[in-house]
Parts: sequence; structure tokens; C-alpha cells
Amino acid sequence: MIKGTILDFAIIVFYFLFILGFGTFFGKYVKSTKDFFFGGQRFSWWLIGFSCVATTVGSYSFIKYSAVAYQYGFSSTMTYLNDWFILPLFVFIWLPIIYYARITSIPEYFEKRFNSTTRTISVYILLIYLLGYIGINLYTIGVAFNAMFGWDVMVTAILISFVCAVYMHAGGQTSVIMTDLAQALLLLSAGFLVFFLGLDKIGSFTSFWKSLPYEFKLPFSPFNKPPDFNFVGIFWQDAFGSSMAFYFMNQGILMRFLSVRSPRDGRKAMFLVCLVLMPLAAFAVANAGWIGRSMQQLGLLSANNDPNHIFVDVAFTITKPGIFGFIMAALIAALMSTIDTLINGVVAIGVNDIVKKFAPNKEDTFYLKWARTISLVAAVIGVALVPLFMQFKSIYLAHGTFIAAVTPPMIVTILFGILWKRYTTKAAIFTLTLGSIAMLISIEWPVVLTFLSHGVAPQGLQYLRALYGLLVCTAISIGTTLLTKPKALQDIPGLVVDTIHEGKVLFKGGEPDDFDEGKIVHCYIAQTSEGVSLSTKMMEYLQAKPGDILYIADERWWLGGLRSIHAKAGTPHEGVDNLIFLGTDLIQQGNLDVKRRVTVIKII
Amino acid sequence: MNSPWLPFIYQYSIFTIFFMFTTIIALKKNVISLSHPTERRILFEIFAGYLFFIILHASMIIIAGV
Repeated sequence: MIKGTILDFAIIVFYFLFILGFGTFFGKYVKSTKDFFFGGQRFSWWLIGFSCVATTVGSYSFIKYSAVAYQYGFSSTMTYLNDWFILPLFVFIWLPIIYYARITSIPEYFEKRFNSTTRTISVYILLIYLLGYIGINLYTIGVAFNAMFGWDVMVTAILISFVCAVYMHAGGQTSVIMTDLAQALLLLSAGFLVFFLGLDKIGSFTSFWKSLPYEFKLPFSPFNKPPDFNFVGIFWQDAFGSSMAFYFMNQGILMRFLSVRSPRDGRKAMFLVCLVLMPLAAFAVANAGWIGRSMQQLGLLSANNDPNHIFVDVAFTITKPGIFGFIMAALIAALMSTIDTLINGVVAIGVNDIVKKFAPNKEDTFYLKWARTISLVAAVIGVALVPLFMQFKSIYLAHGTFIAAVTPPMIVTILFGILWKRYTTKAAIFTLTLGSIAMLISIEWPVVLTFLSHGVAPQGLQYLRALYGLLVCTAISIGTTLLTKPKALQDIPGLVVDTIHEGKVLFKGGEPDDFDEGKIVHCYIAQTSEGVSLSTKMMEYLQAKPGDILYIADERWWLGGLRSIHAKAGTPHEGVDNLIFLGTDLIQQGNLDVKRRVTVIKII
Repeated sequence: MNSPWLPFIYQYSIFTIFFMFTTIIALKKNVISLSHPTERRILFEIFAGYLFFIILHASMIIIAGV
């Protein structure tokens, strides 16, 4: 049965056109590959936080988590509420390393930390990871549209990937971040709307709560059963396979954090994501399943629902024409906001790790043209991978199997690379290659996972592949490192936890002083030929010295840093206190309006 | 049926080891310093957030039986 009316369909089409126009508009802010990939390192923490959540929540999230929520209850939230343990590692160690080392891609980190061979291997692994991720998202939206309109999965995948590629092609990272903000707000509000409309249909929260059995309300699934949704398997697969990969090896997320105006804002963005937005997202993506189960228990919904279609079925049952279209638009928003980030990630790797290798030292416009071409190619490959994922029994299984099979070698190599100064290049190469081979062996002969079963039945062993991969790769890493010679510490400045200070020195070009970062001054712009000059009083207030890196932004906070620039402080002037002399080129680069005040912050 | 507390204990045992291990490394390598008020506050916020999730999950287990 086709669900939805002409009005619903019109809303979905309008949303497509809105995002296409909105995303393409920000193409005017892209003047270089730095802008295309990192948005010019200018954005505020809240903008990055929202866009990270929009990326985390893919279309597969609504479909997949509603399905497990319908079957197993509140334990569907466990994968979104378990990221906090990563925080010390991410904010104290990983973020300063990638930010101050000016890493443009994960493979580039591998080359700097190890050698070019590890860079090449990591390019292959990352491209498989990112392109596969695109394929899964396109497959999921295909399933949703199939349930709604009876459209062919492939036709939907092609249509949506085309829209994403077009606005990505125009605006790069800036388009991704700005459209993701809009899409995050839409998908969160639609998720909450489903819950409140569902409660209205059920009658009251008390009826909803009482209709659900005790096991359904627990935050974790049972320890080692059922095979397809047991706690221990999901724990290793999600917390250490998926979440670690998301924050440490997902090129799209890395670029998102590199587009913040400072590591301080990156830290705040991470807090916002893990503490506020992920719990909200967990609720938004799964509650259709809880509502569906309650409605089924109360006789308001058929008992013969396909879990993969429960989100669409519930949304259709509880909404009126128009609202259904709005909720389906949110599903599309979730998809597009994930795919655009992944495409941008593929583009960054394609340009920085492949094109620049074969065609070095070209004009920036040459690489920008390649960036835009690769974004279209990535969308096409993502579509081509859809039939592969259609072969899996469920979306949850397809997603989990794929992630757990690809990520452990990269995660282990990154963790040892940043935490252990003695970790050697040969250890990294062996971990990436032998670790990947070990993962393939576990796919061909799952019996090797038996010794880690934790009592999980054989049908559920694939969820423990991440743990198997982490253990095997850790053993390879430690064993090889102890038998081989490490690089000297001075050869890896800023690339391991021991040398983060040296990384800051290189970033700034002098001794860093980031302890007072956070103080803000407001100034009027006075145009000059070049450079930056604040008044002596303002410099003293900021505790800044000539040579320190300043962040200068339009004072309208809600622009989130869209109009801003980083620049080195020049010699202070003795004129009017709240006047900043700014070079014409900097004003143009930062899209600053000379008639408006700017805020100035010392970064380092 | 397994105890609902078993996954809770398993998860937070492993998370705590990882969480403390990475925090101690950051402190030992002077990436953060307890002598600086701003960094002390950040560390406190991170620990408070961790405690928040422990309490959240424990509360969910208890409330499930209500």
C-alpha cells in the first residue's frame, strides 16, 4: 500500500529543493580547498555539535533503531549513550594532535607518524569504510521509500545521492555544516513529534508505560541473548568498533572537528554532542519503536508488522496528511546530513592522498575542481554498493557486520600511534595488513570467534568480531613493536601524546600560550593594507603578544563563525581602544563586513 | 533471565579502566595540568559527565521495575 498523500509528497519535494538551494548558497564562501574541506577553521562549537549529531543520525538510525526498539525496547538507546568514556582520549590527546599538526586526512597522519606505505594502506581501508557507509545509508532510505511509496530501492538511492552530490559539489564543508544544522533541528524535532503524537494516540503516558513489559524498559539488552541483539556483542561492536571508528577514523568527523575555530571549541562541541545531543537523538530515533510496541499491545496497531517498516508504519498511523510528509522529510534529512559528510570525507582523502600524490604542486583551483569531481564519483560508487547490502537479513546486521569487519585494524593503529611513542612503523604496517587479513578470516570461518563468545549462541557471534579484531591487532602491535626499532621522538613532533607541546610550537611558530584563551573583545574595523593590529589595551586584556594567533569574527554569534578569520597579531597600535586595523585581504577572506563590529579572541 | 545489572557492571568496569587509563596518561604526559584552574575545571566536567551516565543507566534499571 502506498502511504502518504499528495500533500506529504509535496512537502518532501519542497524539502529536497530547500536543502539543495540552502546548501548551494554556501558555495560562495568556498574560495580554496581549505574552505572546501575545513570551512576555513572558523566555526563555533554549537554549530559543529549540531552538525556532528546530524551526521551520527543517519536514515539507517531511524529505521534500524526503531526496529530494535520495537522488538527489544529501551535497550535500543544503549549504543547512543555510551560515547562518554572516549572523552579524555579525544579532547586531551587526539584533538590537539590533529588540530595543531594541521592534519588534513587520517592517511596524512599515518604518513607523518609512520611512513608513506601506511598512508597508502590506510587510504584503501578508509575508502572502503566511507564508501560502504554511504552505501548502507542509501540502502536504508531506499527501504523507507519502498515502504512508503513502493519505489524501487535503487531509484531512491540514485535520486537522493544526486541531490547530496550537487550541493556538496558547490559548497563543500561549509554547505555540509550549515545544512546539517538545519537537518539536525528537523530530525530531532520530528523524532519528538512522533513521540507526542504517539502518546496522544495511546491516550496517556501512564497507558504507554503500563502497556510495556519490565524487560522492555531496561536500558541494556540481556547479557548474551538473544543472538541478534545481545548486550555483550553490541557493546564491543558499537562502543569499541563503531563509536571509536566514528570519532577517530571517520574522515568526515575529523574534518568537522578541524573546522572549529579552536581546540577549545572542539572540546565544547564534543561535550554538547555526547552529553546533550546524543541522548536526545537516542530518544528521537528509537521512540517510534516503543510507541509501536505499546500501540500493538493496546490493539491500536497490527501485530504483523515488519520491524524494518515500523518507523514508517507508526508515523503513518499517528499523523495527519502533511505531518507525515514532514516526518519523512526528517528521515531524508538524516540521510543527507550523513551522506554529505561521508562524501566530503571521501573527497578529502581523494584529493589529499591520491590526486596530490600524482599531481603535486598544482594551483589550488586544480585541486578544487578535482574535489568537486570526486564528490560526484563517491555518490555513484555509494549507489553501486546498495545491492551488496540488500543481501543482508536486516539493516542492523548489515551495518554492524560491515563496521566491525573494517575498523579494528585502523582503530588499534591510531590508538597505539598516539599513545605509545615506541610504537613502530613496522608494527603499524603489520597491524593494518595482518589485522585486515585476520578480519577476513573471521568472516570466512566465524568459528575463530567462538573463544570470545561470552555464552552468545553461534548465530550472534558476528557481533563479537570487533572484540576479536581489537585483540588480534593489539597482539600484532605489541609483538612487532617490541621486536623492531622505533622512530626518534624528535622525528614525530606533535604526533604522539608525549610531543603535543612541540606540535603547538610548530602550529604557532613560537612558544604557545593557550592558558588564557577564552577572553573576548569587541572592536570596530579600520581597513588597512595588510596585517592585524589591536590597541595596546585590548592586547593586554587578551594577554596577547605580537605573533599570537587571533580569531576575528562577525559579532553576530548566530552566524556560528561563518564570517571570520584567523590571523597573527601584529604590533599593537596606540589609537582608539576598540579599533582593530585589518588588512583588506583578511577582510575578504573572512567575508567580514567593515560596517559591523567584530569579536576578537586569542587562540594560542 | 540474566540480572539486569550484569551488563551495567560489565560496561562500566571496562569503560572505567579505559577512561582512567587515558586520563592518567594525559596527566602524566602534562597534556593537562591540575595546577591550572581552567584545566582542573575541564577534568571535573569530564568526570561529572561520566558519573551522569552511570547514574542515568542505574536509574533506568531501577525505574523499569516501577
